[in-house]
Amino acid sequence: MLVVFGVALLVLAAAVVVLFAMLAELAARIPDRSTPYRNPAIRALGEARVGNSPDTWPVELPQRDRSVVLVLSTICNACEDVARQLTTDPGHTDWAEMSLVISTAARIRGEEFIVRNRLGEFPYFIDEGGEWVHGEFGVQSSPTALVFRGSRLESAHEFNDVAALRAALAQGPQVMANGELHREKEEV
Amino acid sequence: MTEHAANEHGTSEVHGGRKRRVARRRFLSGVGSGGLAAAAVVFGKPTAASAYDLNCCHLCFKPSISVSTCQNASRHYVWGCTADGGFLHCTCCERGATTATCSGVNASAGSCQYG
Repeated sequence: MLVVFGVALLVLAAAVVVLFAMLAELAARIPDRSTPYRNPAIRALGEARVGNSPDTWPVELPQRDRSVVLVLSTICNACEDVARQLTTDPGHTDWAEMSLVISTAARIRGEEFIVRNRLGEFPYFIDEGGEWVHGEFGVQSSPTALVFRGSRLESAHEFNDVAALRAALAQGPQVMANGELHREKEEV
Repeated sequence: MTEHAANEHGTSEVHGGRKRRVARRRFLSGVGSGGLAAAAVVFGKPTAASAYDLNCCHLCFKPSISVSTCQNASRHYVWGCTADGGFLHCTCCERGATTATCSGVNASAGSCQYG
C-alpha cells in the first residue's frame, strides 16, 4: 500500500514538473513584449584613442585587414542584451569580421558570461579588469564597437542595437569616423 | 517436529517481512534522494539572487556607497555602460575581491547621467 502511495506521489510530482516545464516552454514561445526598445543611434566614443595601434594584440583575437571588436562587460546589463542580439535576437553568427572583448573583474566571471550567453562560437578575449582595452585605447565603457584597420583603431562607437551598428558600418568607415549616426528603426 | 517446522516457517515469514520492509525503505529512500538530486539539477542553478540592476549596470548589490568611494578601494572593478543608444551613461563599480561570484564583493556603487 505504501509503495503504491509512494509511486503515485512520484507520478504526481513528475506530472507537476512536466506541467511547469510545458508552461515555461509556452512562455518562451510567446514574444516578450517587455523587451526594451533599442535605440538604433550610434555615437562616436570621444574618450577612445582613435589612431592608436596597441603594443600587444591578444592572440585570441583574429587580426584582419578590417575587423570589428565589440567590448562587452560582465557588469553591464545592456551587454546582456547585445549578447542576446548576437546569438538569437536575431543572431549575427555570419558576422565574420567581428570578435569580442569581455571586460570583467575576474576571468571566471568572463568565462561564465560567455557560456551563459552562448557566445563561444565567436572569437573572444577575456580582459581582466579591462586592462588591455583601457590601457591601449582608453576605452572604459560598454557596449562599445572598435573598428580596426589591421591593428590600428580606426573608430570607436557606442551602440545598443547590433543590426543598426552593422548597417552603419556597412556604409563605410568614413561615415562612422566622422561623427554620430542616427538611424531611426523602421517600425515593424 | 511439526511444531519445529511451523516455528521455522514463522521465523522465515518474519525474516521475509523484514526484508521486504528494508527493501521498501531502500526503494523509497532511493526515490527520495533521486528526486532531491533531480530537483537540485533542475532548480539548483546558481542565480544572481542578490543582483541589482541600475539602468545598464548589473551590480551585485543595491548601491550603498558612492562611485568615488568604490574607486578608492584597493580592490574594485569599475566600468562604464551606455544605454539608450549612448545617450545614458552609467558608471558601475563593485568593491571587494574579484571572485567568481558576488561573495567577494562587499559593496556596489553606480551613478548615471544623460548626455
